[in-house]
Amino acid sequence: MPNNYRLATGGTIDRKVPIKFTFNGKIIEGYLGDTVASALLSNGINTTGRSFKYHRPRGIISAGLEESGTFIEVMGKKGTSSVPATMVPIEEGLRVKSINCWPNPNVDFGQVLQLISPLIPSGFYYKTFFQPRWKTFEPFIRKMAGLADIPESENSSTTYDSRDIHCEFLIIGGGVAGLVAALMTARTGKRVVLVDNHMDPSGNGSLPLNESSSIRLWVRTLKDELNSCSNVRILTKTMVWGYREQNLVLAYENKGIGISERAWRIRSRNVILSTGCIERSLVFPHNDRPGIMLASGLLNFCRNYAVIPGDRVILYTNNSSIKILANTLLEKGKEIVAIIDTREEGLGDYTDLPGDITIYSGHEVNKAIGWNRFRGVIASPVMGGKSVTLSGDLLAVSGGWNPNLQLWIQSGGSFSYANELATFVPTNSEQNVVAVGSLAGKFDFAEKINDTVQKISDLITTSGLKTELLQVPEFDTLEDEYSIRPYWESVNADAGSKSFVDLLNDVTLADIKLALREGYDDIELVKRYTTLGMGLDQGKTGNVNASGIISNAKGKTLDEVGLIKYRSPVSPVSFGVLGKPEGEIVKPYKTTPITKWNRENGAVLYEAGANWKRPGYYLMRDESMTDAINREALAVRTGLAIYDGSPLATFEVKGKDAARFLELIFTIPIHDIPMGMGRYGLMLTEEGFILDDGVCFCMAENWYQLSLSTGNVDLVHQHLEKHLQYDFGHLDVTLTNLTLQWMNATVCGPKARTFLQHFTTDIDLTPEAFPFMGIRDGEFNGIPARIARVSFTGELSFEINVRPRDLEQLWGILIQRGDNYGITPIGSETNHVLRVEKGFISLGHEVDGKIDPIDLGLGWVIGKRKMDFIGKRAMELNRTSKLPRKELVGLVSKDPHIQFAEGSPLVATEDHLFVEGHVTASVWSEINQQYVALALLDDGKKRLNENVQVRNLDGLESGQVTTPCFYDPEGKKLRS
Amino acid sequence: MLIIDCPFCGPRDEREFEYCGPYRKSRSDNMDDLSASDFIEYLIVPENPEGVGREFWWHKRGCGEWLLVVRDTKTHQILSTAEADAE
Repeated sequence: MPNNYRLATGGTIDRKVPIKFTFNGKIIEGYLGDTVASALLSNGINTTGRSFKYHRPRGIISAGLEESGTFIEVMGKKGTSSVPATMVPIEEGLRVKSINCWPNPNVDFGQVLQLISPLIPSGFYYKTFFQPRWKTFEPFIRKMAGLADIPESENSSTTYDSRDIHCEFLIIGGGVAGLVAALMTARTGKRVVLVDNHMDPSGNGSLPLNESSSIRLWVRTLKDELNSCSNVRILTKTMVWGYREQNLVLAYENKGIGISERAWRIRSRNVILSTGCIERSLVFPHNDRPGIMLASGLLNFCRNYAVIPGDRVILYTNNSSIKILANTLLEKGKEIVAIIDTREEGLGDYTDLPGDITIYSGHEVNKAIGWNRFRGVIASPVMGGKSVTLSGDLLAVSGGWNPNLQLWIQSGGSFSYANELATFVPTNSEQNVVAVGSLAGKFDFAEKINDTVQKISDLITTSGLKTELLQVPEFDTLEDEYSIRPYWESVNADAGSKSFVDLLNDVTLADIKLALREGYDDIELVKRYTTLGMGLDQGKTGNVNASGIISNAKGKTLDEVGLIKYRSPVSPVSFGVLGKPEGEIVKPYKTTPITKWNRENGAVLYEAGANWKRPGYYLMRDESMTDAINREALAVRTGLAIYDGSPLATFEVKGKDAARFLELIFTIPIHDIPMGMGRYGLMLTEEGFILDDGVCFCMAENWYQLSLSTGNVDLVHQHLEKHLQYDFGHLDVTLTNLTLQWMNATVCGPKARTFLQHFTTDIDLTPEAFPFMGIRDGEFNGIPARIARVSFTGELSFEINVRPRDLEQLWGILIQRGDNYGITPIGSETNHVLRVEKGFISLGHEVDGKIDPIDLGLGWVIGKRKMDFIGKRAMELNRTSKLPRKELVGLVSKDPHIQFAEGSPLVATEDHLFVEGHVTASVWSEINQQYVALALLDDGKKRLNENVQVRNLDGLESGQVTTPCFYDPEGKKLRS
Repeated sequence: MLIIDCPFCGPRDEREFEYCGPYRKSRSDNMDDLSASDFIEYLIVPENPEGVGREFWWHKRGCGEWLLVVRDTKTHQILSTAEADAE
């Protein structure tokens, strides 16, 4: 019996377009224009979810973003999770399921939790599941704790986008006050952005009004003019979820399942908030039963979707706004069983309602009846007296109206309690932001419009612009004045039953009182102890009630109690739109000019520091990775190899104080580096730890070039700039980052010189003319080049630097002519093997932020006669401690085929209790035919040839301490 | 995200800048003249006020200048921006 709760006429749905979708595997029928919530209700499906902690059956509470009853997961490739059922429009083929229940909301195994609910009060988890017990229970609790599952599809096919936008006026909320504000600011001709949550700015205020054609007509003229303004941008189906400093507003555009989602960063000189009001619930036992809704929710379902999910309605209120719902229900032919009003007789005026409706003035609900479905209430006089049982199938509740302060509070604005409205209203703003409409506490329609017009003209005038008068017509029907008497909790409540304050997080009245008894009497502490207002809905309907309850209990005024600080996001935002998918557009990799050649020649490309993509190794035919690395390593050691060293960080330092500056930056002396030569040195942080290592070349007088690590370039650049601009600002030095201006092909191996001598070059490559650590400018095969004799492999090596545009040509000719020599391109994995064989340090492996140069056996790079360099004083100070230091050593096993895993701890004793170091790098050395490792070990340098225990993944292995060099310890090869 | 008014380029988005830590006195010309306690003070005791504090920002993706920004850490209001000069 589809749509049996659908009214024959009315609503904005299109009855000519039926749509089928599935909910928890069941096919449901609705119409175009329906949300999942309205379609479910029209089919009489009331139990639509289960609660977070107790797994109680829950229904749909509201028709909007404030929903706290039913959150759903949208399944499939374009799925998303944890969205309010009230916000998902239905479409053909849509598949959704309720979260937090298994197998379905009607039969949920988790409901056994209710039986033990007295055992799980608030703070239960804190009190019970500390270590080590937590580990035992964690998997069970994770399964029960109710949020959506990880989406079934591995990669969402939804696309994500982000945009920045700037404007003079941003209006948030397209209710009537928002439209007025938008139109008035639009008439200044400045850039205006209007953001609204719906398909179309509704122009409806939050507070219910009687249907009025004069208002509707006026709203239409406002919208028409707004749509014709070219300076206005209207973002629909866009939710503002964050309000940051300096009027930065974050919004989330989601036009429907599968349509590209978009993040908006809106920066506006002025923000106008017209986020309206949200109705709050009343707190009474079993106020969470399916079939209990907010009055505004029911009115909304009735007006927009032509759905009234019940026939015999009970209304429960403490304020005057429910009368419009009562009128509407009667017009639609529904029976109103009774109106229960907590205010004493005479305060609520129901005389003008048609027909004969029973009014229980001065009554409260002691308890709702029903389990999976609301069946009635037990009510009694507030002052005590005989109770009455009423039966019905729908309960509409109104506890009053709260200005929706979420964004206002996020913006830093203050607020205070307004007695006549029994709620909090905005007071002073912190940023350039104005609150208008019912958000500003203007609940009366005419007053709201006049106030908005006044505030916006003031804003326009203070902005130095001209304001144009907005014609406000006379309206035909206006409502009774809003009146309310707060009623924070039922006084004669059924003692054994739960009254929910925060439905979404299952926080009850008793939980709040427990928190207060246990001494958590600040509202923010109550929040943390009970999880009140922490849910997906951020406590939209419950937080003000909580303030009222605390105020009652502690005898404080509501201003003293305050309100839980709302946080962003206002409502769930998808991860995709926040994080954006990892991809080349969002995070572009740097590649060198020969990347295409690399790809065509079997290179396996890695991300290798500072966002560079470079070859890890080159696969030939059906080689394995290990085969490839061994083949490449052997080529370097015995023949001829080539690699692309372009990503190396390169800086140029020039000026008459260049040497003085570099003396402070490096550990080594700089002033005596001969022209055309380089020197290996370290850069320390002021704290005395290693920041980077590299070579400083002297190109000419007052002209140096630094060749540094790839991965640390950003940090080093910052370090250099800081000292140059701030600490040593008086020095005459210019620093230029040339990393992307010099690309290089590095030719290495014993045959490197012989091979290069076949090319025409004006650079003399003989060892006498061009010694190790030399640098020469000239031409190489007709290409302007700067050749450096540095070596990261431990072999004879020529780094041929050229302009980026020349690298492809250079590389091509080297590969082509090197064929006779068996020239082998090598990748960074092979470089790693070779540097471990040589004991050359690598940032992130041997250098870990606690290690100083002496620990690494690099005491020789510290200029002994240098008066000062960055880090000198701190390094000396660190060394005054007599504690053992971790020092770099080599490590081998007796069995050459045993590998120590990288990162394995070195343990002193069999019982593993004392860790005295760890393995920093471990590789198969093809030239030595054994595994070799580097390690940091307490007092390692004194312990040569000792045995240490390595805790490998599969047990202890014995290792022998060696010097940290396994190949050519005298360095004859690289100097050859 | 902040808008930082670079004294050289005008108001620019925070993404052009790199935060470089709290204000620190400029480095002494001769570290060895400092007493150990003065040195440690210089090294590891940065300003960290709740409220108005001074901090370094580097206009890395702009003019490249090293800036001293006075910012209220409670409200994020930026009170002034200037070239960072050693005193």
